[in-house]
Amino acid sequence: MQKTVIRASVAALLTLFSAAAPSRAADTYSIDPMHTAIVFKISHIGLSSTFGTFKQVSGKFTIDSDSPSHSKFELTIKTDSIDTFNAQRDAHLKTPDFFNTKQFPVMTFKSTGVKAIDDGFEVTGDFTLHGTTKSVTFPLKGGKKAEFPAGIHRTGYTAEFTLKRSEFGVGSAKFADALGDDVAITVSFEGTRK
Amino acid sequence: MPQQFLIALVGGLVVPFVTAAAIVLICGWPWRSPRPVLTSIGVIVGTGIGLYSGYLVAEPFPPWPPTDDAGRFLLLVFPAVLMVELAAAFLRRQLVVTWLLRGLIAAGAGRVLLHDSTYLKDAFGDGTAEWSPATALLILSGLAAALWVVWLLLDWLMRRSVERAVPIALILALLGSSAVGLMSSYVSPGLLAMNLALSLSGVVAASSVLARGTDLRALLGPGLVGLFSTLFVGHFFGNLSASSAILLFAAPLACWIPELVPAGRNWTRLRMSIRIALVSIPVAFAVAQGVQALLTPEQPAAVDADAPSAEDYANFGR
Repeated sequence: MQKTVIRASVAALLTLFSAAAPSRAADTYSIDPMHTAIVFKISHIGLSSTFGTFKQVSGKFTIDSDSPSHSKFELTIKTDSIDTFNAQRDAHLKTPDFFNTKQFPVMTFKSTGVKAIDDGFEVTGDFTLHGTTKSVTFPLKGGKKAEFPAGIHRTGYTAEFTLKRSEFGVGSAKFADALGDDVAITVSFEGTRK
Repeated sequence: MPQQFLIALVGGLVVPFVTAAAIVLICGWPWRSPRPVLTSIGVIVGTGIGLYSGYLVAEPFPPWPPTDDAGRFLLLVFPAVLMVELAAAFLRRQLVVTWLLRGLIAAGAGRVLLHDSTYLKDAFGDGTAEWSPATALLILSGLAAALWVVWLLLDWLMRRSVERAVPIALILALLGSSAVGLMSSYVSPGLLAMNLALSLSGVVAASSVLARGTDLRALLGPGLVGLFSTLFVGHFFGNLSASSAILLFAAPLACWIPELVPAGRNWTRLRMSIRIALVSIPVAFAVAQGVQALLTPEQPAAVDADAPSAEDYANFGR
């Protein structure tokens, strides 16, 4: 009888502690495409900037609060989803003159190293575009959390960095005078978990 | 107009013409009695070097292995047809072997140009290729058969007649393909077609210096496969309409019309002019289609039906 009481007390205590336990160390989120934006800016004949976006994004990321270096980020973007707010220009951008979406239908990012910094992380990873893979490093700011709608836990981050389109073979030499080589990119994404 | 684009345009006009013409004149010496095999080699080599030299004015040499359609055309398809035609220049009486080799080119060109594209490859997981294997086989074999048949018909016509109508028809179709390509949203095949058209023009112009009756059949393969390839990639990788592509590819066949009309065989003096005029009709239609597509106003984008509701936002935080 005494042993039964002790076992029941221990089980109750364990239940109480696990209910009051802090959140899991590593949380995996799925990219919420409705609240994710990939925006880029490129110079047009040195007069103005042309802006565009990629509308179809998917991916996942893992945030490990206890060990940030174990955090991971993976993003896949369909190149065919490019939108520069002009259908004729978009059609040209999809051809082999630029993104060649029939040959290279996605661009991907996969992190290889994550380091905690103020307000976020410094992320290093392999960015693959137009059949070329290069290592990129950028600060990722954010990390606030919310539950919206009820039952859906979410967090979000924003990154800004610049790439040279020529390093990835996007846009041949005959467009060098018309388009800048530097492309400023802003990625702002939310991820959800239940 | 951006300087780089101007360089590509001017280089594409002058360099291929001069290069091809020079090679034909060198290989066609002595001009009063050129040696047939050497002249054919000059035509083939001139056409090839003319195209590559025009292309390299504005673009770097494609990498090996090729990663896109232009690279596969310049490094695989076009060299293959040049080598087959060089072999044909030596195997002049081995027609079966020659046409089997040409059949292999026709069978392989489309498949090579589409290699690793979303039409054939499961880019987003199993079964996500745009074409099923059966559809791919149907489309590619149909296009291969069309190329081979047109090749046969034009070669047959060139054997019946010493006129330069078929080469000029090819040049016209290539220029039409170039115009439509430059107006469409994929510029590169347009520039390639222009390079090839001017290269063939150099060959035809130089051959007029050689003795009458010089056989120009050697340029048919490179010219026709080049026309097929630029229209093929313009349609499947760009936005060239199928109707424009068909009109331009079939245009040189209009040279056959005077042969089929009973009185046509008597139009000896006017026959070449009539052939060229007939070829110009489908080319003009295709160019007109290209102009219309360029001037068509863009449609407004559809509203996204998946946006969160106002209620979601009103209830946020409560």
